[in-house]
Amino acid sequence: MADFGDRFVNLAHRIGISDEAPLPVEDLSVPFLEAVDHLLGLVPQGGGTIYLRPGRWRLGGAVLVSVPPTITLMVAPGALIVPLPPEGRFARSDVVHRPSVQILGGLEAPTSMFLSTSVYEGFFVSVDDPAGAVPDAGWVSLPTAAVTAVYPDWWGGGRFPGIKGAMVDHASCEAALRGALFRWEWTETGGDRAPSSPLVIEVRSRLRLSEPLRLGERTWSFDGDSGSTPQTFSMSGLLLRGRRRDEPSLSGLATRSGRGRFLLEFTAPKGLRIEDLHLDTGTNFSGVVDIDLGEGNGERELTFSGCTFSGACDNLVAVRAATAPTVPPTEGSPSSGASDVAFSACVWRPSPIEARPGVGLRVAAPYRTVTVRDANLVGEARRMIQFDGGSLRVDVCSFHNAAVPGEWYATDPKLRPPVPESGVDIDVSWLLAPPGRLWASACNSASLQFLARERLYRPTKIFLSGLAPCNAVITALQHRMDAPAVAPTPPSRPTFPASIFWTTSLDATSTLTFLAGRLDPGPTNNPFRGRVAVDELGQQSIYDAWLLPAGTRYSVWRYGTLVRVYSLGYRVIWGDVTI
Amino acid sequence: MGTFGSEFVNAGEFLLARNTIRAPFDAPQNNNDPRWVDYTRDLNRVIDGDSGLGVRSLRDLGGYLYFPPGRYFLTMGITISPKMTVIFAPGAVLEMPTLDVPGSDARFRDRFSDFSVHIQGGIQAGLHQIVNSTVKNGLPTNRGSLIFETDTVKEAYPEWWGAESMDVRNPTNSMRPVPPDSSDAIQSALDAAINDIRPGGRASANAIPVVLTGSYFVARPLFIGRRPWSTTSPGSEDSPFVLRGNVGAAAPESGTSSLQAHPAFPLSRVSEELGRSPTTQRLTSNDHLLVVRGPPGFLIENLQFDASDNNKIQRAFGCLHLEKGGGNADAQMSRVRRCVFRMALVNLVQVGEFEHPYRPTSGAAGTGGQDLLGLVFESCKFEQDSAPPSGAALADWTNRARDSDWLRDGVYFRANETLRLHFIDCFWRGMMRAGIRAYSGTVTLTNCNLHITRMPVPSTVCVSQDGRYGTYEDHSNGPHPDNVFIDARDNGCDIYVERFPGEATTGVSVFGLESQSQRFLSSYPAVGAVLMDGGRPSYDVYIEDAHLDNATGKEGDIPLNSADASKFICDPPAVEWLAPFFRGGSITFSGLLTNNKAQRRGFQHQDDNESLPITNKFYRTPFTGRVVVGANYFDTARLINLGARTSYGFSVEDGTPGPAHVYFFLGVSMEGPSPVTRDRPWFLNLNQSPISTMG
Repeated sequence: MADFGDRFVNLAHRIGISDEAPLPVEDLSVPFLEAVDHLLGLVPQGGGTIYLRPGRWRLGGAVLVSVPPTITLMVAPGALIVPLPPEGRFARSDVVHRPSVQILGGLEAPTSMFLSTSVYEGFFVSVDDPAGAVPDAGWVSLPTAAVTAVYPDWWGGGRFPGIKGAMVDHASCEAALRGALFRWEWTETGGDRAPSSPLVIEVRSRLRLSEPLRLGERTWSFDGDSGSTPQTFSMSGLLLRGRRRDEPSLSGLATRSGRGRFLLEFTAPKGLRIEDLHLDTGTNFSGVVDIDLGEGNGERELTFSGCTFSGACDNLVAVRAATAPTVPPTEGSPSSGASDVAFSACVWRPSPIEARPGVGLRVAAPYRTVTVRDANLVGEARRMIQFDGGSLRVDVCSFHNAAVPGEWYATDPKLRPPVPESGVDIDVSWLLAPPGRLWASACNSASLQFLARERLYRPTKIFLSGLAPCNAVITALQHRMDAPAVAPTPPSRPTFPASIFWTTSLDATSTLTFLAGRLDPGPTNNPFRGRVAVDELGQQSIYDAWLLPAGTRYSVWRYGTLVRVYSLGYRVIWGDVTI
Repeated sequence: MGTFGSEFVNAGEFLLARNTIRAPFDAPQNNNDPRWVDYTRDLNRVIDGDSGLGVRSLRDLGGYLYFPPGRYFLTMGITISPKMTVIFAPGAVLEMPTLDVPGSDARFRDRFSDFSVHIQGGIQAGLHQIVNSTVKNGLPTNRGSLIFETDTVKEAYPEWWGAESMDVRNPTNSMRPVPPDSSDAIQSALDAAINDIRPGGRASANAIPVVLTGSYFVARPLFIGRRPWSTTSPGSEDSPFVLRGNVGAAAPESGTSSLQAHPAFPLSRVSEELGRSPTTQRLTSNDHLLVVRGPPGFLIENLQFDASDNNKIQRAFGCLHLEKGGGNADAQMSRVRRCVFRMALVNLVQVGEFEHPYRPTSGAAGTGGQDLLGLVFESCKFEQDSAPPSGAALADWTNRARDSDWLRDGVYFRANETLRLHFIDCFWRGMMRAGIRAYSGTVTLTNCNLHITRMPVPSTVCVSQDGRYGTYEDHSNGPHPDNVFIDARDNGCDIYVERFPGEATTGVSVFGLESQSQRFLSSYPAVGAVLMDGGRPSYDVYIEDAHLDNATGKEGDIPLNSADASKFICDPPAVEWLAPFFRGGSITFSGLLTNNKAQRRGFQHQDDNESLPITNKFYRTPFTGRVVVGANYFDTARLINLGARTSYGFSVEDGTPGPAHVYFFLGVSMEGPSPVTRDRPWFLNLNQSPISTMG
């Protein structure tokens, strides 16, 4: 058998354990550190490799097991490091209690599980621990430059099915998050505990989460470690990356009702990136991403790129800011500067909960800017986007909302709850103060209605048309409604809504600028309805439009063949017009 | 102390111990070698731990299976279980068995699984061959391969199947007169890592990113998804995948991480594949370097595609062809980032044949059946040759590519409206018919730069065998078979909206365009940014913040053969809008800056051919055509009635020194009083308000 020399230490052989014998159920930190000392003592320069054979390696309980920079830790496939809860000095006296193992040198590890967590120990330790005493697990710190990304797979993510698997998966994500963030070097004298830059967390397996994963600003507390002092950490710079696949990277499988809960919950995020993740509500979750921008000022720079959001939803993705920032940002177009939250090349696929369609993206973030670019929003939603506040820019997106108002169904309403406003792409009916700003450019839509500033269908329902003014600019929109699968019943009812329904009964300052788009009315023959300021540019398709007078400028009511309404004061037509 | 334990199994030593082979370990080179032995059973014993030699069960307890150099012949597949890592030394190659059923057999996929190595654990191998190629001369070898059944293999490399790159790893390759063809190996890698070739379907959900670390020549098209001529070849067409290089547009001359056409591209294939005789083979649209069928949510990044060979002769039809496959793709977004597409015979990128719009399949509650696709090109470069071919390239161009040269587009896009293309921060350079040619669908450009150096010429022009423009008379005193008529009136456009036979509601939107596209000769204006030529279109074009800097072009086209160059000049305006009166179709400008010297040349074309109605008079105009423009402010601008079939155009005033700035704002529809003639232009100014618009 090949001999790699003195600088390769098979730790099991060194402490006299044969290949056939199981590893002892005890803390092996001391022999590990002796091996470290042996390698460091070699001349002319200390260093080498410590090899852990398959088996369960309990390390780091009594003393910190530190792998120095000149030593590579090589972990065999089948080997599992069980980080014991730390004892002694610094064990629980800091905001982040000391790690059980820290790796400052090289790491050669399998691509599958080689680190344990307390949840995993709780489920699986009984195999070689008949007493059933399940200790809390410690954690492993990775301040080495040899590790550029961490994988939940290292902590057992994706290995087990079912609800227990979901708990292990959640614990593996938490451990990966910890491993990526707390790359602190510990010494017995306290040492350097300055955090280095965060790592990449790459989700390669299909994981199910039993609880939400909380990201962004977070007050950390370790599992089973009530002794440590809670402290708030930022996750700025963290990249959470998935793999392109047609199945979810992360989906929900909650142990208790997850209604109202989201897979990823962001609190005051700053400088976080999420790439190529497919998030699905799965079971017992009602959304996948909840973003609370908090009170701070400035750009949050939370970006989602290449992600897919799917599942049955109340709000599939929610962006909110509970309060206004202390200093409102200066006015300006959302096109200038970065966004607080940006979605790039993402896909929304909402589906209804118990036949009740929800919302794909809900934005209620005054003074914040949200950008959605190159998105496909496809599926069945009450509104694909519900815009309740802030600045929203929607660029080059395609919509196809297959939902229709619930009243259209002739079936028992109990089976099909009346959701009158279903089928809208962007709904600004619930806009709250301060004024909102909406830009939508170069979008395509095949939904029932692209933009609603009033309830879509309101024979007996509420008539609410915005509590706050909204300036909207719709540029180069292509809206062509496909014939919906469900036609209104009974047919005497008002039928199809306008492509853009824009009514502001409570304020007189909202404006809608519609530029260079095309509204193909489909079965409605009614592309516009509302009080609008319209710049008509070759839009010969505006037949039989109702532009309701609301006592302010730029309004017209007409029948005829062509309507032209101009907004900037050059051509203003009041009242009924006959051309 | 300095050794692994029994969890490390050296396959060579084990086989020695089993007396399967003789010492020293020396695996046979082929299965005709008298030393040939089937290793399958003994390797399974290693894995299962029932070898009788004290070897532990790698499958249950974990460990390494190491292959020293040699060729390992297997008669059945084996499984590398999750706790195992398999290590390949350089020179260690698994020779997989040949399937006992042909590829056309329904049992092929099951048998393929039986005859392959299933990787459920880890794999450690360098950039060298570790398994036989499953494709030879473009045809399946019907042999097993690697099957990835794990999420933990980070990347797969074509070198594992025998690809040879043209870099320092293979220093002798650059000395070879004919570069090595790696298409079989790369295709094998794509089949194993991306294409679904396993039973049960959808197994390619485990698609492993394929990484091209070097520069490779390919003599045959590469396919992701099913081969177009085969119903049995591997290929999932509805699963996302990643194809990645390690450089991008930032290092276009580095020569690494690229796919390049082999001088023999497309190497003749047997008639069984193509349904035609190799001797009569012509380039088809499938003869791109890479053909992706049913593109679903893919990511291609940091790759250079070069459709010309090492002598800079264009060989491949194009670089990338995306076409609809058989899969029922869900709503997806695909991205191509930081890629370079270079030197195609026809189109650099072709997107087309998506004919299945999104439809909900199960009523209002249904969300199935989506086929709503978005494709984003970010920071890409589309580059054709910027000068006429010369030398051997000219001869080759003359002999085989001349006709297609005039049909060469940067991006050729023909799909239904549910497909959306978005170009962000992209560049176009060189001689193309159009930077983007769209038949349908939706195109959006954001912050792009185009410099198209192909020039338009009238339809009466032919090109001679020496590649020069001219008339028949110039070259042969009459029709001559060597002279080829060209239809190049529309050459040189940044965006060309082609007439489309059906009715489609589509659009082009441009946000932030910088165009320096070709001008012909120094005193002549340039071709335009947008040419709208729809027969029954419903195209809407919106252009915001564009800079049409037509006067600064430097490159010309193929040299004129005639002393009277003017007769070959086609001199359209910056924006040509030929949409007939049909419902729909609009063009809108917001913030346009032009720089085209603003001198009316008064050129009278020699030919009043009816096929060129718009070009029978030429003005140095940024617009002609039927337009409805929202505009209220012009800096020394006037309207000109072009008469004939067009109604109102717009021209910068004669003799404007320097760049002319033209602004179009929202709010005013502008129609000039009739008649507006060249001699009686209609000047507008801001004080003229309100403008009467209701005719």
